[in-house]
Amino acid sequence: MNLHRFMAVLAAFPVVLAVFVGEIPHYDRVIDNGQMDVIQLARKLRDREPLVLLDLRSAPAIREHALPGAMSMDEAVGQIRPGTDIVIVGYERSADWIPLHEQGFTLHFVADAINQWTQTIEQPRLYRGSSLEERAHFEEISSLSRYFGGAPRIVDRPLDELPRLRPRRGCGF
Amino acid sequence: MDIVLPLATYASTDAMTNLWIALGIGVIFGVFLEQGGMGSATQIMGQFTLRNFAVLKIMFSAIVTCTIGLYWFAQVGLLNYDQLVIEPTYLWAQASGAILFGFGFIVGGLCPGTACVAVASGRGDGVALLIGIFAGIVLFNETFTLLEPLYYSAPVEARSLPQLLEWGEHQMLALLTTVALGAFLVAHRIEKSQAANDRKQTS
Repeated sequence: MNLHRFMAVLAAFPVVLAVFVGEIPHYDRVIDNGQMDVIQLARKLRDREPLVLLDLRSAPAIREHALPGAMSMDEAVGQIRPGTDIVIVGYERSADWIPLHEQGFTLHFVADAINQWTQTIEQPRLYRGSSLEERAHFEEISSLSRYFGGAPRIVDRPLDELPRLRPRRGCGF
Repeated sequence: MDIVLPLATYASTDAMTNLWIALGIGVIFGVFLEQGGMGSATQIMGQFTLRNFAVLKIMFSAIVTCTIGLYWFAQVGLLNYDQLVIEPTYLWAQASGAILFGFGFIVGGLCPGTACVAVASGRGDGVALLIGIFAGIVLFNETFTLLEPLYYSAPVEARSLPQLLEWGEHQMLALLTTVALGAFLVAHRIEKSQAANDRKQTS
């Protein structure tokens, strides 16, 4: 067997093995299937549902701003037991949650959690002139916000979000 | 094994460091292209005259090697395959881009990657092509508002062949390798018969 044939057989080996091993793991599907929003998380925390809130960001980022009751992986290790409901934030740049998924834990993921928490729970805003539906939703969020020490406010709509008025015809003023 | 790839997602390095890493990988790729003779327009044009299939062999080998690598890196837990950035497909834009690209390839004798290799080897045609490439980039950006409707026309939701065909990556890998081996075999036979024809004509 010459060198080229030997190399072709060598290259074919991982391909043949792949056929038997099968599909590769798709971790983003796990994240998509376990999505939760900050309002759902806030309700769970307010109702003191048993859960572990896991923050996978770096230690300095957690020290700077974290969700109430959030723990780093090191802190959470002793508290995770079979059947524990785990809510994960800051997973976007970390793969530390994958071993938990492979051990069969039920995982929930809150996307862009810190920004969403700040905007929705800590500083919810309602524009003056909003619809009745928006007001009712805001009332519910406000009670959640106050529970977590937030400051809900009713504010004027920013100028760039106001509907554009048609320019006046006639004089040039 | 801990997932560490792609570096852009999981490494704690900043964007600039990632760009330096990409440059390093690009230089290594360029060295291998140069060693394979891809810095020479004459060698590359052999592909279009069906006398030298080095381009097909090198590029297909690179694609199959990369696919095997991606598959096994994902399988052993080093890579999160879903975090790889895959450009979205817009059929008309990419079809017309491919025709333009092929035209430029035949006229210039080099593609953008091999043009960089040619420049690194000190070839003038590579420099001329690279100037053309940058002029094309500037022209594209300046006329983008005109091209925008074509650019975003006929989007395809699936971003990869496994998604499009609803196959597993292992099946796609097997198909790709089989097609590559078949192409190598056909290329080898064509090269041999062309060489025999050339010998007949010279004698």
